[in-house]
Amino acid sequence: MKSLKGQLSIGIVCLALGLMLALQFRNVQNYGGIMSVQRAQELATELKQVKGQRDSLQQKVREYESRILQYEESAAKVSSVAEDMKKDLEKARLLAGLTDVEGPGITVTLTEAQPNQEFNVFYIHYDKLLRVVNELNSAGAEAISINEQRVIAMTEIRLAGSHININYQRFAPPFVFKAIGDPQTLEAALKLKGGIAEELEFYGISVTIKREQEVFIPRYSKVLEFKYAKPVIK
Amino acid sequence: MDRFFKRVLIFSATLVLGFAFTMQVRTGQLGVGIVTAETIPQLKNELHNYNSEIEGLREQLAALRERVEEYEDAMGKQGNLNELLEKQLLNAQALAGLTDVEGPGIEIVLNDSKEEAALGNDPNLLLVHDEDILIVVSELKAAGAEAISINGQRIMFNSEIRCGGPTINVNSVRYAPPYIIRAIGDTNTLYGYMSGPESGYLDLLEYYGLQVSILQRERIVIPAYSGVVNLKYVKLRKEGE
Repeated sequence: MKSLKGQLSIGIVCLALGLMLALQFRNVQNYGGIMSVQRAQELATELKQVKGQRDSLQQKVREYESRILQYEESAAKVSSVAEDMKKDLEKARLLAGLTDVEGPGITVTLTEAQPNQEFNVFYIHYDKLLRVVNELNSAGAEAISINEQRVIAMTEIRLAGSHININYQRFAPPFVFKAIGDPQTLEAALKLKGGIAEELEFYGISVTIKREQEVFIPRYSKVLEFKYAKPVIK
Repeated sequence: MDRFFKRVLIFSATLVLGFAFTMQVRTGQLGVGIVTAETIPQLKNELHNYNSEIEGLREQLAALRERVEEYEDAMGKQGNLNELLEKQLLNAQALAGLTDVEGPGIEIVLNDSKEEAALGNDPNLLLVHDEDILIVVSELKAAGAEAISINGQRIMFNSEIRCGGPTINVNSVRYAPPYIIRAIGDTNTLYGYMSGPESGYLDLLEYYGLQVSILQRERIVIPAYSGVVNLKYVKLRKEGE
């Protein structure tokens, strides 16, 4: 009886130990083990710092922008010519993707149906992401973002090694699209029989579409300036 | 002896267990969680994204400072203010695709294959498809193209490129081959990227027998969007909301 108790407790301890070991071992197997945990911690710490830096810069940019808006508004109050120009400016900035926007629409989430570490379906079918944007545009989308990257006229979607570049930023799945427009039309365009959603599912990418009353789409986050293209003045 | 051995065994097992447990908890605390094969590349991606965003924000800030100065100088002088506004407007309209733009660039011409489909072969392989053009356009953007047109249709942020049988619709206007894709940007970069292995997509099309040509041009004109952009659903998000 006594020895049974002892054996049982040893058994339990061994079980827990085995579990822990297995977990650690999996880390080792997958990505270099303790070294990789340390590396991940280093990266996480660095990430925190960099994010803080980004946030404070963003704050400053917002401040300057609101100052410029005030100047524009005060100019528009005095002259009707300026007022007209300000209105046109607002619309042009919106179309160029330089302003945060919102409205009704949908969110579309693409994930790997069966993640496996040897290969990632998105890297073979990255062009399908272009197709999703294209279908949404055909259905009258008025603004689109992918993983919070605003899709503007110059936005590329491109496979670059083991990630996908969008606006020169790097992304891995899942991909979350947001689109502003008529939610029903947008959804129907993707779900069309034989359409893009079916095709994605066929390739092992699961598609979740949600209609939304309000979607927020951020502005293009970098400097937008032409170096080579000059406006033709008539 | 046997009992002593057992105790040592339990002691060391508990020690290792405690150690392993602490390590797991510590990993969790730092927000890393269990480190899998994807953790490190994912973190690196995020780091790269923040850093490139910071770089962009710095540039933006410098440009904004300049603009604020310009406004301050123009304050009280309506004529100067209007001039400034007009400059901003022209710039934003060019970016949005609402004005004609000109500059150096490249011209790519895509056409269906000259070959006849042999009996039993798929004739689809001999045609230029909407998806081909979609990818070529995306590759041009990746190479830094600032403005793009297809058979004279300006590519906007919301342009669709869709198959309509043997033709292709761009901005709801129908075009037949050959498809002439023009792009403004650094000529050497665009040409090198598109004709070399970096993109490789044009090579692939050529391999399939499509007619592909690519030319450097000193001056390309890309017209403004010819339609009207009617926005019904999207609205500006005002500050503080």
